[in-house]
Amino acid sequence: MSTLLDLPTEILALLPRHFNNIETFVNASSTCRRLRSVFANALPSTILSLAAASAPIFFSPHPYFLVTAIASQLRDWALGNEENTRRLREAFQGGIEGLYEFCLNDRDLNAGITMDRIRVMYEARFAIINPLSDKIDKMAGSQWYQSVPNFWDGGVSEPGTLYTEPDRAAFQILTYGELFGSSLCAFLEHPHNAEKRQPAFDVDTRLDYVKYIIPDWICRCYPGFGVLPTGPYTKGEKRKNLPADQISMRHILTCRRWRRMWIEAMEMVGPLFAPRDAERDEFEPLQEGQQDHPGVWKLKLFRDGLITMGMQGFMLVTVPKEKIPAKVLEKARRIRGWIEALEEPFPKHFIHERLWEQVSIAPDPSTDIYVCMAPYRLFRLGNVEGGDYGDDSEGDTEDEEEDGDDDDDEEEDDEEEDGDGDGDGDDNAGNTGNPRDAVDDDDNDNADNPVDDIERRVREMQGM
Amino acid sequence: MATSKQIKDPVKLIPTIPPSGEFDIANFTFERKAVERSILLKNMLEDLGGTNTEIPIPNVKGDVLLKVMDWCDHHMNDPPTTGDEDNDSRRKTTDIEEWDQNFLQVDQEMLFEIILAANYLDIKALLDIGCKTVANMIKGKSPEEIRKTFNIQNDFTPEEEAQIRAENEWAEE
Repeated sequence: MSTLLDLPTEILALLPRHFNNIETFVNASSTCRRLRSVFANALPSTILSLAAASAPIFFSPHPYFLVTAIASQLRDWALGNEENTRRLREAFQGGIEGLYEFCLNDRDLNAGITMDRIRVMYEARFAIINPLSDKIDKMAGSQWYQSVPNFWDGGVSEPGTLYTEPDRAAFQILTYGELFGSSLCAFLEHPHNAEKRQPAFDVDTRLDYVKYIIPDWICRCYPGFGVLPTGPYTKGEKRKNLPADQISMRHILTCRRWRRMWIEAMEMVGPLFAPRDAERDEFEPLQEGQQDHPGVWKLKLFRDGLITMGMQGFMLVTVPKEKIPAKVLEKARRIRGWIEALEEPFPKHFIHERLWEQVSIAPDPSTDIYVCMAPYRLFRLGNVEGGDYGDDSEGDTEDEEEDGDDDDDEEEDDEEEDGDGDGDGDDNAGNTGNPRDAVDDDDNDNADNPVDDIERRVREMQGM
Repeated sequence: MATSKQIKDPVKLIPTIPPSGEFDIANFTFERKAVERSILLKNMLEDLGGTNTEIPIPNVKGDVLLKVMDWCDHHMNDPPTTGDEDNDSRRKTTDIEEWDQNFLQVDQEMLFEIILAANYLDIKALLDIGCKTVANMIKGKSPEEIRKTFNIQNDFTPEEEAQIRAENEWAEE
């Protein structure tokens, strides 16, 4: 009589891809030695699909958790050739959901996850991710607002109106590190010899990650910088509910608490490149006759080097010193050694000279984010320019939007490709110059103003 | 089954393990198009050429072969499966169309025999729905319930069970 276990291994091995989710897979693997042994060889791509089916339950925040888990595969694949890099950028443009779908479904990428990797990620959730998320919450989240008396009146040194989802922010910066850390190492290892350098992502790829995976209502076209009406910026409900993730992330990456947190990690690896308090705060001008400590740029670069080590790097600020694996410290020391040998910072180039926004050729998370939220600076100065997305030309019809025949869209696409276009930030007819008008100039009819919305959510957190 | 009507382009399949009960070879004559759902038989027919071909079928019991050919007869006009789908390791849908669901409402022994036959005869679509059916029987069950459903002995040592529990801790949330 035939029973399930009489089926040959080649047939039993087919079963997992027909399972409905990872729980079924785990339970079936736990019934007997034979099934456990056969299912141990399930393809990582099959396990990823099963994990995806259970994602909201086991792998939250969804879809950030799984994207972070497979980001290193995505990186290696995309660095394989120019076409893959182009396709990664295209995937970024679909926002986090688009990137996730790409990871699940692209046959050429053939992404997967092993059960071991799932366990590593599970352990990392408690050892690294949750503590990091908690730290972020204390820097920019509800704990930041609630824990400090007189928050706005001197309670904290850098009060600001932020609305941060700490978990999401943690995964956004972890994924940035997983994706772009190897690129920074490539620049650090061979700063002057591009031929010897390992493959590295260019500025446009990094900026696409920030624009679409760390979306923000303030991120929009300005001269030299394009934002496509795709992913989170798709016209309609999505765009009306854009978060303020770049503003939050920029605050996190530059605030004193963040810098202090990394000082101890850097000291674990080697002597600091500059005194602990040598870095100036954002927007803090140099006093007359004052100069930055010559090691400040190395201090920041080293911090960026550790941040972009991804999950490993964040062990340095979340895991007790004695539990940090030797290989993590060894890699951190290697990064430090490269930075020590540098004579000058990496070159920066202008996004557009008129706005003075510069971006480094090598990964620099806080500056990459700043470039994307540059309209915020103009907002602060009360002088918003641009304020559009790639589809905001006058006379657009819904049909044109949907069928993708919008000429302006095509022009914007071209500009995105070569990276030197001016977007349609100049196409600013009807912009009153008032930042709040610029924010929802295309969605005025019934959308809540994002600024009001953020302020409302912050007031809710403060119990006001 | 195609035995009572005039069969166009007939092919005789001779099971080397005859079905239980009276054996009538006429019951094992099928339309070539249905037989060609099996890639193994399709290739054999191409190699043999001609008509009124007889092909011996080892490894498949007569009654299982009849059941498999019943499926092939029903699906003979389906578009052929592409190699791309077969190589795709990504998750397949667990949906099974109604006729196939009814077709596979058989006891476990017959289900596994059909799966084995589909594998041997290289009928990918049938193998697929057979596996889906088994997967659906496992779906939502605890390890103990799966053991019960398929009469599987728990052969783990206590140490192995402890290790499995530790490995699966993440799924216990």
